[in-house]
Amino acid sequence: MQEFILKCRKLMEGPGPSEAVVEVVTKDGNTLELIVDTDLLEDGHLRIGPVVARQNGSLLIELPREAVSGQTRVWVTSDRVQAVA
Amino acid sequence: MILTDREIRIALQEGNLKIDPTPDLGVAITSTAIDLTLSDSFKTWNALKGVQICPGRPGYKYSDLARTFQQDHKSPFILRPQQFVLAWTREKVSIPFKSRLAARVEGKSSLARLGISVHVTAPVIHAGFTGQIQLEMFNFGPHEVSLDGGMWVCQLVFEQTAGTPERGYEGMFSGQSSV
Repeated sequence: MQEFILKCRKLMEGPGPSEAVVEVVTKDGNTLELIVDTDLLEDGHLRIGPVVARQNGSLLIELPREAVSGQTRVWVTSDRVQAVA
Repeated sequence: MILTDREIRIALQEGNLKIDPTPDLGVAITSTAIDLTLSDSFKTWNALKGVQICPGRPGYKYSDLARTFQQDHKSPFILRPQQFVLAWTREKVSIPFKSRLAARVEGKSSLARLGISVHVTAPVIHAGFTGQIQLEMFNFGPHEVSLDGGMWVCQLVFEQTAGTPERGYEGMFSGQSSV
């Protein structure tokens, strides 16, 4: 199964012992915060789930955890997503 | 379909489920679940009179909230009646997206009979999850209860999905460095 990473910015340590709070940018330019395990972070990127759909240069992706807004799937611009080997 | 003890062991062996550190499977696995233990980290919320939290509104920032209102504690944590605390399992659980598994975290009767719950209506752990499982613990009982790191605190029940979740475009991006 193809794996993907998404650009993100770490904001702070998370509430849990191995967590971080990160921010990702949606296709509309808004930011979403989510709490993730630090194992999923590397060099400003977050390991994410599958790309579910594509539309006009944007991708619908599944986050590894629910964002603080309550969303788990979010549209992002394709330039923020990379496929990994 | 709920996984039995045998199927949980197979999922662990085949990498469809990872638990680190691996608990003593001889005692942790039950006929249809696996028991997990409590870490020694706790967080409480300090309420500030007059401050409302609006998680459904644009611009809501958990990070602002956490910096202002969250307080750290270490084990043992004494959970008073009618008190709420965030806690985590000691074990880190990973369920790969490819696994076709999901899990539910549930409480244990040994704590439930004292009035201790371990989640606030958010028990589902989806495929793709990696991390120590957050427990939203509340004391409904009349006694102060000591929460000690390492104690058996919750159980995970695994379910196998009937099909494969949609992954419409994964093949299209195979081998590309950027999509």
